[in-house]
Amino acid sequence: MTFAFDLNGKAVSGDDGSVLLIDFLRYQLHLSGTKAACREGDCGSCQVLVKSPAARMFKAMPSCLMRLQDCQNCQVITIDGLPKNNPLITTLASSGASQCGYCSPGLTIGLINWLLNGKALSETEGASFINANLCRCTGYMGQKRAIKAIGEEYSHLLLSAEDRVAFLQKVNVLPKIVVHAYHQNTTPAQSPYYAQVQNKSAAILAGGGTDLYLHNKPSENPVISLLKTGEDHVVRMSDDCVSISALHPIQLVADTIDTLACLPAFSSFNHWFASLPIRNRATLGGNLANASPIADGICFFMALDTIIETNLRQVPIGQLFSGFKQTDLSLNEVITWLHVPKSVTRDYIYFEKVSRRGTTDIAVVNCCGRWQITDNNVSRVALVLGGASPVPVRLTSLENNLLGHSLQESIEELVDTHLDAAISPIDDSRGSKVYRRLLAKQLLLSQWESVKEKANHA
Amino acid sequence: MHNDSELHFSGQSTFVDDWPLPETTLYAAVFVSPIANGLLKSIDAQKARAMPGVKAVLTAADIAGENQIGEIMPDEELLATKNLKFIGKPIALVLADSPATAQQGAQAIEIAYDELATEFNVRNAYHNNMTFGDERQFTKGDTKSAFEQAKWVVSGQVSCAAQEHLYFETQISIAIPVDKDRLKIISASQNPSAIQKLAAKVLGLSMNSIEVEVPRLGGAFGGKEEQAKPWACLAALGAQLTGHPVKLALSRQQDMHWTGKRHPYSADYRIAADETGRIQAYDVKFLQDGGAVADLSTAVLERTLFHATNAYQIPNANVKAVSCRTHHPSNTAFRGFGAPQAIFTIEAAIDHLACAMNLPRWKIQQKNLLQPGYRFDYGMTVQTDALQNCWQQLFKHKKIEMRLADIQKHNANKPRYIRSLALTPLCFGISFTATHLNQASVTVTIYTDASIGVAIGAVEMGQGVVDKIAIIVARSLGVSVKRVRVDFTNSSKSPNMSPTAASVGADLNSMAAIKACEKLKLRLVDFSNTFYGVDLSPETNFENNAITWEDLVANAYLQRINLSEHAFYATPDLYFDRVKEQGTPFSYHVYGVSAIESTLDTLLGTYHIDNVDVVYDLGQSLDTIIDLGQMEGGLVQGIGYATMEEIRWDEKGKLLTDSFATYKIPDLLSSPQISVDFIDSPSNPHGPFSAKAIGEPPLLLGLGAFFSISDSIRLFNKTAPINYTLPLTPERALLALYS
Repeated sequence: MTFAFDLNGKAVSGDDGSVLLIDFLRYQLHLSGTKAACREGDCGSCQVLVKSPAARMFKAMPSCLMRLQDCQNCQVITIDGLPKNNPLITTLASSGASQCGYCSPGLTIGLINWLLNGKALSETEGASFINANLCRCTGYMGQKRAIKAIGEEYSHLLLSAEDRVAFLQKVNVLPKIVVHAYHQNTTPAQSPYYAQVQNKSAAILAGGGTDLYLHNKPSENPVISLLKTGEDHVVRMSDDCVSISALHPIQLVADTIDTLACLPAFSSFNHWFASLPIRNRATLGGNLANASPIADGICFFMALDTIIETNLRQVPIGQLFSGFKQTDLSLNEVITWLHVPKSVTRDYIYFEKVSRRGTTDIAVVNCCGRWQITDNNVSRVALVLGGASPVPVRLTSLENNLLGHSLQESIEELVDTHLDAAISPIDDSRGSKVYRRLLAKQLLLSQWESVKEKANHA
Repeated sequence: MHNDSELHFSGQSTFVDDWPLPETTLYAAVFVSPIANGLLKSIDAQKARAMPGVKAVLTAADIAGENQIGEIMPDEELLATKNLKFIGKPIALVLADSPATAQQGAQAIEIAYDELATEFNVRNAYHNNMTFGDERQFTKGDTKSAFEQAKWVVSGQVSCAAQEHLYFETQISIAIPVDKDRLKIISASQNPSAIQKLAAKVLGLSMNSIEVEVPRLGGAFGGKEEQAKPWACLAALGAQLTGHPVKLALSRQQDMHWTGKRHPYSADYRIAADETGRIQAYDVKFLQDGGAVADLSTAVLERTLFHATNAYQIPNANVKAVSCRTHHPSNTAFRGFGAPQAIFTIEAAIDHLACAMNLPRWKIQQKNLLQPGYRFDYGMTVQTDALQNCWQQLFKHKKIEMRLADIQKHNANKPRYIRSLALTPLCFGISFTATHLNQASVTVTIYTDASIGVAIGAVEMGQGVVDKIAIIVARSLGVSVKRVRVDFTNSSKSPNMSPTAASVGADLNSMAAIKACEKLKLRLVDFSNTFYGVDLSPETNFENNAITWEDLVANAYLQRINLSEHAFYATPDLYFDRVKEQGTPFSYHVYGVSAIESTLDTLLGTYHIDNVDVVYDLGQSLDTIIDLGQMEGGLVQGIGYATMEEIRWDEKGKLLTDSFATYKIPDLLSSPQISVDFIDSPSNPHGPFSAKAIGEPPLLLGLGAFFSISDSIRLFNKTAPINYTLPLTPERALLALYS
């Protein structure tokens, strides 16, 4: 597949769109400022800024998990395209946020991404924007000093700026390239790749490719990218459902849900789900179709009684998964929408996961609960555990026995009675069987703590 | 601050992988042993050789010189001939016209082998006499009678796991053939001269045929001291045999699978105290997992011996240590170099004692802190009261007792989130324990345009050695630091370099630089006295002098004054007698104390290291931002080692945690707030301008994270078993909370 896009203000094009963007930059164009440390989207070193014609703003994305075909018609800015004598870099350099320097270009891009997309430009927000920029040298205090200094220098100016890109171009932080106007995107049926799905043969269907490109080396298989970058049709509200696009980047979904205030629990889910550059690529459809037992998306949406819509049918989410990393999706089937019944969005929803590091880490066990409390008793509950069985499981027996349970009482005995038979954890590099089993129980107790705390505050 | 910072943040600093390559360059892939122990019977590279784009497949038979890169012991072939000792042992080298083709070629190689029994347990290895070198022993006083007479005696076992360096730049080398028999190697190595020496040996050339250059490293932490060697030598071999430039870069997974880690240790301790908590005796035996080949293991082991009693005075000590051979990839240098395992062990022993005596751990630590005049078991004497000062300043300025009381109050009702604060005092010896490595040579050159170039025998890897040398040279010559530029490290410009390691790169090279500058300056002052008839003093600052630096240099050149000076520094008075195990192995000690506060979620076993306060005896800092960065970064690396960084192998020795996704290092949100006070103690004759080293010690100050969390575990579960196993992962924490 051919590719054509705008790189640092210049048109680039070619025949082999399957090449990874990082390799194209470093080894074909010799733009070696962009560094590759992990090549799996986990370190943030290779971030670049990407704006698709259907997006309003540049977003930081991992160039190691993007093929050139994914950049089609986009504008890409890399570290090598930034203006010289960049005042942001001068501020950064005096903070002590750099030692060996390998992660530094990615940090610069990450901070510009913050200045472009941050809502508050506070220190806390800055930390959440660059948390995925791992560093083995500094211990991150320099990064914290940099956030503070840059926030102080730019936040007032930017929060009042009508056009942040134009402002940052004016002060020499961004290159003075002509930025494409925002075009409302196409509807699903008109998506350029959607038609190809119908005639799919050896090609692989991908969302943002953030998992696929880890294992699938360039040019082995044609990939049909289903990712939609347009900013309309991301979330639809109807009388009985909140419908969420499965094909848009998760961060865009989160921002849209936030604006509509239709599913407050999603923002906490989003905080724990991967890093920002990954969320700018990954889709809920991809997270679901991967069918990993620790997929946060499956855990969360199972607890919400979500109906999955594909191009062929509608199916309750629980019926989609047939085994470890297996779905019953047919060859040409694409997950397009997640329909969350409106009735459940008013319940108290609590998503929690435990991983080795906490943030930007894959869960050992995750848990989502949906609770309705009436007169201090459980009147409705849904509980899902991920990472404790080949597929995330709904704990129906425990749920049934929790109905009518008083907030004054412990649930430990009920958990002990009903949990063990419902799960079948395994040993792997993230945790042992014994640990997973105990953790599953503790996460359920933590649900209960959270429900009680919520009730106390209500 | 780091002069390179702006280059780094704008992506303009050149690393080995960024080096422009000639079009004729071939790309190398390494075919390695898929098994941890076995005998190689045959190699079939026919399919690989037949692949389009593959130019050559090389094996041990193609080596013109000696197939040997072991230094401490000759036990490491460059390419295996018969014995396959670990997963990742190089067997063949594939050279192709693209990196992808080379990798495909390597995958097409087939071998036949007999698999042999493997050993990954260090205790079993020890009992089966699988060791490197003899057991070493340091002794002081009479432990036998001290244990008999002591009021309190506790004993137990400690286990320290491996740690992955996770430098961001993976192992990489480029070899470029020049003339008939010359080679230029550009390598990401902390040890350019060793690469020069070994490449010459493997290629059958003399050292003067090989030039090794290191622009800078994208992190190393010890992982590129020995373990950059095979890849550089293989690239050189490929270049020699094909006549093409060769680039060899490991992928992240290859790097994690094939290269060594921090040494796992297993230790048995016994400690005795009187009724007041004064330590009477300490008996410890360390078993080190050296991995499959010797590498630096015995040197690492030696530092374990030196730091076995950490920052405490112990009248009777008996310290034994032995390096054992297993079938893991050879473990290697890692910031701290054997000291973390030693210091964790004594801190664990003291913790155990505190539990038994029902005393706060810090009171036992405080009671036994080193005092001036104390003689270590290896013969050196404590010179200063710096440790006591650090401890007192920490308590006073960071309000430790008040915070401990607050925490106690917070924990009184057994809340879900329990907090704890742990103290770690530190004494760390500065110098290579291999005495002969304590040398450096530096050349300072003033060019005719008055700019200054410096060739040093140290490699920049983020620690700021280049900046420190520039500051030293500028100060010594009396010019602005803007005039000074330190060259990329080059084996021809700075011959016979020691590795940049042991926290002494800045010390050794600065001392040599000062000598060179003093000679240069004296010469220029003499010249100006004669030439201008002005009486300049050696303290002259040329930036505000009537005679400008440019003018002086221009005239000196015309008058044929030598504007370049080479100087050599060897740390004086170092020696160590390995028969008596006595001597002066260190030029000085550094001291510091950390307080690490954490919060443990007793429901889920997750924790957060909230804040760290440190007081450190830094002498006179050359650059506070650089030194602060070393402290903050080292602490977080140490905290990672103590908490979340965990390596897992399967039963065949195959690494399971082989990516950033499964091997987790701290990120910004999981890292603590850090507050550092540097004590600027007056004079240190062994450091440049009275500065002191700071490379490795900060990592050790992070070990307290373990005790901070384990204190909280015990507050929640009084019957939790005492299990001194690093790292204290959320998994271990939760299982202990509910055991």
